[in-house]
Amino acid sequence: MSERRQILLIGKPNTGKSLLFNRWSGLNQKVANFAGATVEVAKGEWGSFDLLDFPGAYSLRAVTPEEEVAVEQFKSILATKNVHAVICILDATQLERSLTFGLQLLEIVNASSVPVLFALNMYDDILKNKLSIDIRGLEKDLNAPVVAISARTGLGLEELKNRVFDDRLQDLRNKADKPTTLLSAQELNYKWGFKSDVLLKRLKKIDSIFLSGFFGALLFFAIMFVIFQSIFTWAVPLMDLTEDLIGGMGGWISDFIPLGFAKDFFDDAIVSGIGTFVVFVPQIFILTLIIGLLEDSGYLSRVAVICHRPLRFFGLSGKSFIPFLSGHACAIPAIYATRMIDSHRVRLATILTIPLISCSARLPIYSLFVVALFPREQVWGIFSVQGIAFFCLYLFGYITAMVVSAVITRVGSKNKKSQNPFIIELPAYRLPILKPLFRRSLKSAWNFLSQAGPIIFVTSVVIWALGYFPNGKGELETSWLSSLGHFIQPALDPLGLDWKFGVAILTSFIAREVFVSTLGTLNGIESAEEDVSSLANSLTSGGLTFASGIALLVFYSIALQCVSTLAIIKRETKSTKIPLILFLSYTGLAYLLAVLAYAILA
Amino acid sequence: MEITGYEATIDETIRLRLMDLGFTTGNLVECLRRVPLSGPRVFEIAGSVFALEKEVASLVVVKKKEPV
Repeated sequence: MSERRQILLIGKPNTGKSLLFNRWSGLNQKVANFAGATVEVAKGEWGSFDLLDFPGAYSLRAVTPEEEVAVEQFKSILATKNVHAVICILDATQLERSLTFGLQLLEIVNASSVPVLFALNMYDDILKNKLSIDIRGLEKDLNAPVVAISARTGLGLEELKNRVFDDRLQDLRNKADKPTTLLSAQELNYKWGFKSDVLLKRLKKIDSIFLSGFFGALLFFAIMFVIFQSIFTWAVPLMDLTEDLIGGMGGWISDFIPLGFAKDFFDDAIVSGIGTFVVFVPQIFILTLIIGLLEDSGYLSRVAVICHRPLRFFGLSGKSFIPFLSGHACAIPAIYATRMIDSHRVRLATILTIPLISCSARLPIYSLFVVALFPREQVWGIFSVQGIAFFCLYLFGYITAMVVSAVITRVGSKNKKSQNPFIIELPAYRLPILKPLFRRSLKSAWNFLSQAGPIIFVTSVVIWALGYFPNGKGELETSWLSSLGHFIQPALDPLGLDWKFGVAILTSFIAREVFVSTLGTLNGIESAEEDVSSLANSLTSGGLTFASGIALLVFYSIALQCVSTLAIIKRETKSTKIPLILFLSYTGLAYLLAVLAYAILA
Repeated sequence: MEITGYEATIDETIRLRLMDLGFTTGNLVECLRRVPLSGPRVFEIAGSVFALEKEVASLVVVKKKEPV
């Protein structure tokens, strides 16, 4: 077997482990695959070695089932005899806690014959504050190499590299006295560390603003507003550009294809099929970037602290807030963002309710019906009726999400006591480093493309085929899809809608934005997306009642009509059942509430 | 404040987690602030800062440190 030898990186969260990993492995990163692994281990190349980056863990004492899996996995990799060394990253600014972790690690690694090195990261902070740690002393007590480094500035990285590749390191393997100590982390810190709280001064000062009652809340709303704006305003031009690029390239190739089935298939199935998921890429990139900025600066954990109490009431936690906020742009990056929630149950509840948050794909439908149903008037001079209608729709999404979450978390857990208590570290405020952030964002965009893309694409092609055949001329009115529209007509009667809406609803199960263009096609209006008001006019003159319109809005704010979201939920929950049940129950709930709304209003 | 132990009702999982974070007997802990509207409380311990929800924080038993 010619497998490359491995070096394992392990450490607590917020120790700069990923930064070190990024510095060494560059762009050549991928997720390492291990049999039965549930923990994602990033793999990169470092010289002639493979560098494995374990996700940060607060403890190597396997307390929760997930941790047990992670620790078992770590042990099984150690047992492969293919590991050159383990590098344990310690945070020099939090020596005692880092050593608690380090000592737990020694216990595990000593069962094998793999040498351990300690990298004392963030040593630049120690020097800057004119503090010191006795490295040689620590080395003696731990009986293992300790190197002071800074992944941020590059300090000590050469030395660490030399020590890792030093032949003498391998001698440690066979040595009888394993690295160990009889002292506790507390005693080691007392003996060799610094005795000063100067490092926390800045953190306390900044927190006294960010976490204070009045200013804290004000800043919180200001920051969230900026994020909310940016995910719409920055992403939109990029999304348009992506659409134009795909359309342009598709059009260019399409010119070489003779008229007929092949051309139709290429234009309407392939090009629009690719278009339906590629447009999400800019938003995913921007959101990952913004969340990364918040996370690396240290503010993200403050956000969780501020929002924890109100969200806990609904069975969620403060860590659910950012995913919800992201959900206004798009559920897909929002579901990715739930990865930072450590409690499995809270994470699931957050994933399950994110699709209820009004995302940007619902926007065209909301605009169409708000324009069709509500007058362009002002109340009290400042609020427009249409604006209030929009606000109510967003609010309705939140209320449903909170109610659903409260119900599933209360019914779902046998143990009423908080199984996963809210404990979060408030790290020091730091200036984010952009390069690794860009890399991370690109990676998440690529993950989406490669993993969700194929599922979405296949579904789009199937729906296209239903709309194209049996006549083969692409006439929607006589297609199987239209027969289906007529077939579900009885279900539309309680909403006061005709078969055209049925067809539009059916097509919008690929992605909601298709609804408006389908209605446009059926009503003979070209480019309905750009010309909302003329479609709105033709709908109202075509006999769309207020009650039916509201019923449709209710339906669209709840129904989970997005193949991409379902694909991501399947991936993130590693279950086919969950997205399936979710799809059926949200569609059912949406329909029931829509019928109810129609019955009340009609 | 000095940590003297944990409430008897504490869940083993939570106890181990808190110990890993430095909430061990004999360590000094200081409550830096309380987030308004009975939100989490922020503590400084062993050079780190953590926010704990009220229910968790109340499981840690402390006493005023005697002046030496």
